[in-house]
Amino acid sequence: MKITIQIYEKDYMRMQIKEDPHTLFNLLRIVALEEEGVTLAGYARDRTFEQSLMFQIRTDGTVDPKDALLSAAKKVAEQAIQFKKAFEDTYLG
Amino acid sequence: MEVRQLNVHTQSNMAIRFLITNTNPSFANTLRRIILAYVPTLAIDEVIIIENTLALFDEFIAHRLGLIPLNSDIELNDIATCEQCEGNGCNACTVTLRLTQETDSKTNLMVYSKDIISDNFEVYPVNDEIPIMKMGQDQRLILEAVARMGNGREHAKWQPTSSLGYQFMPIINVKSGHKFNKQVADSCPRDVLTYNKENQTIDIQNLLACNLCQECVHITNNDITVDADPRQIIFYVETTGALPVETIITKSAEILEEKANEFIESFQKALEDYKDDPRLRRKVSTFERVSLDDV
Repeated sequence: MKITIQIYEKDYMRMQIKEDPHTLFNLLRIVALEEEGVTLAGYARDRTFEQSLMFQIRTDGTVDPKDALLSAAKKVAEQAIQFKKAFEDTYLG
Repeated sequence: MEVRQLNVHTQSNMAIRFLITNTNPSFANTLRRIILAYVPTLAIDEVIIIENTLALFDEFIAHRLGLIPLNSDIELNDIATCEQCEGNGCNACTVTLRLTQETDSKTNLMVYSKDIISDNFEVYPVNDEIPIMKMGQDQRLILEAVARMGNGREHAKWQPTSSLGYQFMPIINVKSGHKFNKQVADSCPRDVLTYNKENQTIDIQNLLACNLCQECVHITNNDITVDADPRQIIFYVETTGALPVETIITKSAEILEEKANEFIESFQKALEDYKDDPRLRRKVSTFERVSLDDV
């Protein structure tokens, strides 16, 4: 996954990512929106025939967008672990 | 987040249906996309035709062989990153299968997946009765096929599931104290509602079968309402047989975790590399699409 940060301000961050857009980033967007202080989180496909997307996040200024995004990504990983554990407890445990 | 087991559809454990509670539709969709595109399985990718006197072209046969699901519950290297052969194919990353059939001047023959002989005892077609082709009289077919690991992004033959989907949990509210007629229960195509003749009421018998078609809502003019709860998701997975259905789901969760961790790693690296470029800053507004290539 190649990430290029284009803009990084106090309350706004925008990056270009070479990766399949809808699989991870749709979930990341939803989880990021639940973070405290995040007012906008979204992605758009910026290339038609390539696996590439533009991701942007805006906060109300109280939180660094970098911290909000990192925290959201960690929550996604946690959700995956939690789901795996819940599934294994039900079916394999 | 909790997972609750719902009814198992088939006797051979090919399909499961479960309820995920306290989640959101994005998580279910991510899981669905990962299962379809990223869970690796084994499929025939290369066919060496030694002799083919059939009416069917070589390519035709190769394509059909590729679509046969093979048992993939084994540890194999990815051919692209295999250290032993550097991508040329070896025993650590590929499995060779053979097919030899011949007919005499009197018989026709149907070739089935059970006729494929594998070099690895762990790798075999999951179903013996998949028809591959029909041979006429006096024909001969000798071929060698090479199977390798791949995922659904490359080709649909590597998809581990044949049927996969999710729906929101239905919430059906029947107006209390209201008298209904039998037509209401009959209108439901999934037999979710039953008619109570004594009290002239409608009971909900089989809530999980509801597919939110809203037919009962229309016929009763909103005396029954059907809503969906997006925080409770019914997930349905049916495997092709390549992998056990439980393995597919646990693997997809592992892949999601890997992807999230990969993002964190790449993001931290990108933060180190980030340079504030005033040329870029001038050009950019929130809704304007600009990439570094344009600068």
